[in-house]
Amino acid sequence: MTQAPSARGTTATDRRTRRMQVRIRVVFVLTTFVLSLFAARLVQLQGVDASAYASMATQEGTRVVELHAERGVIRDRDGEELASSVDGVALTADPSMTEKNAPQIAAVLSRVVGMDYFRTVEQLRTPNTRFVWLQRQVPTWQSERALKLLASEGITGVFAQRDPFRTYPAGNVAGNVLGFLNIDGTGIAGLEAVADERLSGTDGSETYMVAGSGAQIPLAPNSVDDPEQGTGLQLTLDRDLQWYAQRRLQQAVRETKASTGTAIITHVRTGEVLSLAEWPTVDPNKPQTVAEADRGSRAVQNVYEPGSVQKLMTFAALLDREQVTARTRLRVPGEMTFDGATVGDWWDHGPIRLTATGVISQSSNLGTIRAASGLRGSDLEPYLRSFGLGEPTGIGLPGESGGILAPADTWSDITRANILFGQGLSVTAVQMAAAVNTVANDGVYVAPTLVSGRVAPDGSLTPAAEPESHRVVSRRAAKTLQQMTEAVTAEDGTAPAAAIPGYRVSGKTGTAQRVSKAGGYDATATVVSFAGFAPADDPRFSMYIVLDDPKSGAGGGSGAGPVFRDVMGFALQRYAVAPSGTRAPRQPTEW
Amino acid sequence: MTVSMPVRRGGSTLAGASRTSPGWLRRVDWLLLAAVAGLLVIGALLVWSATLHREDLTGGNEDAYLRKQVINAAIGLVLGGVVAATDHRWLRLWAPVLYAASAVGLALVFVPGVGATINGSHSWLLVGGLSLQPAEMAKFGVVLGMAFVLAERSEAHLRHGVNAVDVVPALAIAAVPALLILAQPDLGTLMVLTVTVFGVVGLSGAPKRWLFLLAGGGAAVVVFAVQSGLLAGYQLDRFGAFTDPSLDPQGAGYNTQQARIAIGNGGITGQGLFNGTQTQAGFVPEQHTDFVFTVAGEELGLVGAAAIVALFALLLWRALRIARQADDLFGRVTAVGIACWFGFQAFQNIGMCLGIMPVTGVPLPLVSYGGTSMFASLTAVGLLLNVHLRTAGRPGHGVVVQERMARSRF
Repeated sequence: MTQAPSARGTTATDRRTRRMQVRIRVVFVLTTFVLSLFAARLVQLQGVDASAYASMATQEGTRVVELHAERGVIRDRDGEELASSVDGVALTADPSMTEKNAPQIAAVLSRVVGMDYFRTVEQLRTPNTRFVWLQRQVPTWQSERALKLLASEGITGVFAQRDPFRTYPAGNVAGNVLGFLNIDGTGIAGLEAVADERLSGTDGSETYMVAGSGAQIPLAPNSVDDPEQGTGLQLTLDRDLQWYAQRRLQQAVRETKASTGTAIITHVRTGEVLSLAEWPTVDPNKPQTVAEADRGSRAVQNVYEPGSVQKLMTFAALLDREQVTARTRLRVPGEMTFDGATVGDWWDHGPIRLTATGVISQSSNLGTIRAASGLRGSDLEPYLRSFGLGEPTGIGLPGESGGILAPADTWSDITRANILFGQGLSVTAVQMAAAVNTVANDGVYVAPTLVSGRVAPDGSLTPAAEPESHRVVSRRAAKTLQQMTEAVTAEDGTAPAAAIPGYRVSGKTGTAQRVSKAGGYDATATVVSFAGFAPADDPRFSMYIVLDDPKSGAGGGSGAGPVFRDVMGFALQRYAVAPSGTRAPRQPTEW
Repeated sequence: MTVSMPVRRGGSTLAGASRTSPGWLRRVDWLLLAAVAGLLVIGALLVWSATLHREDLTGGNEDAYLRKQVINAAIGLVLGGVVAATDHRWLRLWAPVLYAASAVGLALVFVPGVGATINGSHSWLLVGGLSLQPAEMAKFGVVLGMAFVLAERSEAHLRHGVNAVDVVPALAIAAVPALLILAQPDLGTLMVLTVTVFGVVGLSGAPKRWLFLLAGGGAAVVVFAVQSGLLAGYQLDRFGAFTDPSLDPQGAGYNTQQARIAIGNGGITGQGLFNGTQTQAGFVPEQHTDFVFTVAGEELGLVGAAAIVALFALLLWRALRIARQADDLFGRVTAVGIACWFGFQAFQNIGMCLGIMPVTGVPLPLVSYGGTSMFASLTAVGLLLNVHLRTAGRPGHGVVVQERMARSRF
């Protein structure tokens, strides 16, 4: 530049040199431009939009984990746990980490936790994901052992996450009442379903920092919103009595070749149900192993015609209206005809003379009709409704039916006659149990209850509200009926098999024809039942037993009576009820 | 008297020093070295921070990557020092050899047993337990090779500058490694190489029409590749994902998004070294290599990120200045090539982290973790120094003298 250009060649060189200098300057400018672009972008990202990105970072780096509220316990009346929550974990895995060690991990998990080896290997190799559920509801002791073993082999990628689960320590005892949960932990049957919200409580959450791998960063700030633990239930059921009733009922169902059976034991004064046994029933630990029909409670869901046990209500009404006494003399014909339909008794007889007590003890349909000749349908219906028929009892189990009781003004003569001895209306077993209990409770109806109180997470008990109760018939009427029905379990009654040695026992048998699916009565199918209470002179427990469709030909006394004898006997001894020592009154049954 | 003695003696010592060493110490481009040193130190810290909690990489040893990075830098500095101290004539002599070696290296990645496939690319050579990326060395080789050819041809005709005809062999020199890199495939390195070649041709003084021809040809190739379906749809999506992360949410789009979140999370002053939540939690993939800039963004904030950009600006300025002052074509072309290489690669890498360039896996020179890249970059810095050493301190440096050009032939 400083040297003087002297030739043509130099001018050309000079031009080229200048061209290069210009181009380098162009590159300078270009570089400056790009760098300014960077600067602008940096200011935009880190100055202007920084808070937006910071919140995205926070969101990405924090993970919220639901803290499951522990589901409330369900206990029996003595505090024995019928349903409890066990601290378990769910095992999860990050397949991107477990892929290479899948066989070793699966070997450990199948050995310790009992998972399927081949399925687990496949899960551990799930492509394109960083999260799989391996197994839920693993007991903590198993998962801890498995994770410790994996850690000792230096294998990472398997995680445990709290996943409490439900167990029913007594197995199928009261399974029909307790119900069960679905896989998500929601109650879908029994009390678990009805009280689901209260039992489950409110889940809390834990917020913590995670790394890109999904693992928690130790010592990083986290916050915990404690879960509100579920409230438990204390039941009126007696676990041991329930167990025994179930076992005894199972035996009876088998012996009589019945399709199903129900046995309900009620504490007379309080209406507390001590046992609501059904067979077949469900083990809530594995509800899927039984037929869908066996997973609920037939005692509240199924309706049937009660048969002769209904005569208790008819005679209670007659006694209350003072239209009969225990000794009322009745001329009972061999058969009667209403609206062209012939009604007979279960045994063939010509005209006979029975007292009211005899009608009960022999379970005569015709005698009942005779006794109720002055009782109009419109007089009877209020009594039946007062006994709890036609309405659900509100015992607290899902799907409870109210049975069918048509209004009296629609009753034909034959309907009225049928209703007097328990056909032409339908009931649930729980309704019948409550009605029978009314007679035992000196004429006062007490709504049956299963739940006696709420159990707070700290174990304290809040008693449930007193059940609804009202007088149905006079105390005198009830007392008279109690004595009259003692004749049923006498040697010449319909249910001598129900007698409990040493105790005075009142009872009433029932054998009803079943309504067939086609409509009308099924000549071969019956529902046999027995209602009773003891001690007859001061009833403590009432019990109602139903066997559906026994194919052995058993009647109420022979089929259900022995179940009453054994289970009621067990209950009386268990609760140390002393025999009264008095003798049953001997009322004449004939005249 | 008594006082003046030592002073004079001292004075003469100083004068002697300045006389004997106007040499190399004064001629070293200290600003360039300062920029390089700054980037190396920041880079080592960022790599360390990015791998601190990555037990999957470090195997539990938190310092593993810091140590490796420091060792890489030390080896690179030795290489650079050797290159800087070597007589440039020797370098010129060795240029064809280095070029040939890098081309052979690129070819070897396709040889089974020597080459290794990582993430679907044949980019690696496994030699005695070391994994090398020949493509990184190839950038260096191409710059040297082109400088050699251009300088040889123009000086053979005793002229300064490049003729149209000289461009053809230079392009041929670049084409061989370019095709091999395309076959790997490593689109990022190919882009860097293309821009470097373009810069070398442009700044070596080739006529304007050649530049237009090259640019047009390149554009035509790109259009053809897209139109003919030579590039699969996912490749295009991946390329375009920086504008719309949803195009490739699992791959490049995810990277883009995470990089942006990490940088944005840094704010003005950053979260502090080793304290970036996104970085320490490992949300940004490849954070110690291709996305190392996001560590600076999050932990050092706008201040730190801007500092890195500024250091690169300083580096480029010095490199271009060295190119401008170079008094022979070989030196100039080399310096220009290195400047284009560093400049575009930094642009590409930082732009990718900032979401203004597509995601292509190129490291940030001198900062990202990676042995080969570090060796190549520091050797290139050595070469820049070499060119500068030769130019600076000479009378009337920066002026091209016909006589000297002739002399530099051998």
